[in-house]
Amino acid sequence: MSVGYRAVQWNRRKVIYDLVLLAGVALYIAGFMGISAWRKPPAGWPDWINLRIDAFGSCAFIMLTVILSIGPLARLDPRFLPLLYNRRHFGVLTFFVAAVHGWSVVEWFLALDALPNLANELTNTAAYGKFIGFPYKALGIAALTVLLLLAATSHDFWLAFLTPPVWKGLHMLLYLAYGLVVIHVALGAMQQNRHPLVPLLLGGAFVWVAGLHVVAGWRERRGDRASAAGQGGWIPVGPPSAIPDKAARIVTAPGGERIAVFRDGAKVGALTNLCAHQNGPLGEGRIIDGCITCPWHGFQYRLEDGRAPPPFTEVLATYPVRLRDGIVEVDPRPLPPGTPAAIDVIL
Amino acid sequence: MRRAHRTVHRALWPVLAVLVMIGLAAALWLRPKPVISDQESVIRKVASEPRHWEPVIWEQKSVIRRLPSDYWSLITDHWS
Repeated sequence: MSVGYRAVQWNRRKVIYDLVLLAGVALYIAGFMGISAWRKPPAGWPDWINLRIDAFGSCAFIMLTVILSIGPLARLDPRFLPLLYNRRHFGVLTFFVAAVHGWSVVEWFLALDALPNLANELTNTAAYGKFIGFPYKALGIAALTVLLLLAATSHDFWLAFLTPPVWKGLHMLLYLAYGLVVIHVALGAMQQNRHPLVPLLLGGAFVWVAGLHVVAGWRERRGDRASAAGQGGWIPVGPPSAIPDKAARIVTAPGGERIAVFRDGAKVGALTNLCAHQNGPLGEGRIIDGCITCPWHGFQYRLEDGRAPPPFTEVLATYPVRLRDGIVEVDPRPLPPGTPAAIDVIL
Repeated sequence: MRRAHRTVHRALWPVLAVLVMIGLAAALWLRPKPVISDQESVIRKVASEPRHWEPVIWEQKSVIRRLPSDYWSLITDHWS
């Protein structure tokens, strides 16, 4: 949460996250190049560039695989949520690693004084009609362009400017980029390197990521089914004691979004399940220091009226709640954002 | 994520998974065999096979030894 503009809102967790990331990337690159050079010493500068191409390319692929695993893993098990906290820095670093890979390819052609060959390869329109022999570097360029777009718009400024739904939709292009990268490797490195580990690792990584997303999506499907509405369209949530203290139960409006019904002691209130920051699942968060706290990035809101505590300005839609025959019920028609709607209940 | 994002996500991943897996399998299946590696594998295979030709030569030698001496002059005449 930020009142004014700050390029990056650094805190201790973000610094540790980024240092671990940088150390991991540096170790991988150094290890890859060191071991490869020891096993087969490069004959000249172009061979060294080749090593760099492989090291940074494989590193970017691994990073992309990890990034795409974090989201569904956090949906399936909240213990992975800390990885999600600073995922955008992970993504930006992945772009830079992939950019070094791309630049190294250009440098390799420059070192051999064969840059026109690269241009010919990319502009050979007949080759685009083939499968084996397809200019696979074009797929890499397309994926790198997507990564550049996502890295450039990763800042909260763009999130606020584009609005969370558009921003999230834009960043779902990463799925497409991953598919492009897999085929880029399959038609490129896998055609040249016949070691059986190459297709095994490539296919294994993709099956892992795709499997996680399919399973997580399948599980989320249940939560999108509309909750059974009672009298007057009000949705019964259950007795107050059925709502865990300082946490929420989530219900779904017919054809609409999810509603998080929180209880803080004897107070019950309902808010949209969408955090104003990145549309994170607010109902999976907890009440900390008297405020509902989003599990993704810690944005906070008051239970009473859905407003962020001053001096912050984020505000959420609330829903009318009532206690009827000992059952908490919520009206799925939202109130204007910031409208006080919480009630006191007897436990 | 909004409901719309979840719907797109659920529809997108199975399609993407099938398309990419087909592409990956085709790229693996249609992978051309490199010529140099093939030569190397043939050489290795031949080198690792038992040397059946040795007994044959020995048999030839035994046959040659049994041939009469005039036969030698017959077959070596054209040398001179």
